[in-house]
Amino acid sequence: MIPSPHLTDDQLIERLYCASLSRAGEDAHFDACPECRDRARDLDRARARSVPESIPPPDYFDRQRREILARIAAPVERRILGSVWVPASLAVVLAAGLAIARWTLPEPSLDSAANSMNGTELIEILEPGWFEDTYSAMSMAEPRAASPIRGLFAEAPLSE
Amino acid sequence: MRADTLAAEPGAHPSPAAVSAGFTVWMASEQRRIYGLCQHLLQDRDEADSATQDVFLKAHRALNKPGGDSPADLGKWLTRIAVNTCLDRLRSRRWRFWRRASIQNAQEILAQAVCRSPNADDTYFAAQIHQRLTAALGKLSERQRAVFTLRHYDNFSMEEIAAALDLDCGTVKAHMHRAVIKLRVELRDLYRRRA
Repeated sequence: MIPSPHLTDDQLIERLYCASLSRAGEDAHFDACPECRDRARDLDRARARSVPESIPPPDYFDRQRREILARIAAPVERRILGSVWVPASLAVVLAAGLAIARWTLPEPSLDSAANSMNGTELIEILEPGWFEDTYSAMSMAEPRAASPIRGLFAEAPLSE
Repeated sequence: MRADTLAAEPGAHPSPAAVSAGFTVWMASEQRRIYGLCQHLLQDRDEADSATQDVFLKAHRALNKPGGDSPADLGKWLTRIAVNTCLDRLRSRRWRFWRRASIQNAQEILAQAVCRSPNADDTYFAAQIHQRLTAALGKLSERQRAVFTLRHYDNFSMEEIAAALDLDCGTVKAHMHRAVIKLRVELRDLYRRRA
């Protein structure tokens, strides 16, 4: 199969946008070949046709001009308050405050040296009466917690 | 138009009346072009409107800055402000993930395309290309997108793009080359089907 001497669509697109071709000799062919130049012209017309024409309403630019002039006339303070710098600055201040609080406030953690034994973490038990409850459960036949339930079934003395 | 005719009177309070008549006339003559440029770069009418306002606000401030340089070519200078404003907005879009999709709906695209294309088939195809191209442009980097958009929509030359982006021509070509390769992959089915 004999390769076509003309440039391919891809090559013409590359030339249209990049103004030259990457391989030597292709530009020389383009300059010498009227057929390729015609195809390139058609391609450029297609490009121009594919660009949508934006037609705003007739008073659009008048309204826009009035808004620009109003923004130029606006006091500088209002421009600053309306800008993105205000929320951005607040976010930075908040983040800095959180970071300072994180580093300066003491951490509510247990002393790791005092609460570990042979690599096993000990749990600090703070609830009062825990030892008594545990002792009663181990030493008595019936745990102390069962007595209120038993009281429900106990026979009450008959009233006169 | 000369830059010094656009500045307000020295020491004048910045009220609409104090904005020099020259600036207002110049703004009116450039507004449509800058709005079109912003719309092509941002693909969003509301954002283009807001960006256009920012561009003229920045231009006014720069022209009235004491001791500020007077740009030699006001048109090119304004284009550069517009491109940079749009690039900033494109970069900030990455953080606004909750923002609504910027692709205009098909009805709107069709309404725009009707004015340009002679028959229904072309109209439909142009609308389809525009919709797909807009989606594909979203996958390019900001610089690639700006380079391609200025060439495709605004027909800028390589030198004009380089001036607008403050880059050298070689860098612009490299960005363009990568953009075209990415877009060819994204849109391959469209132009193969058409052929």
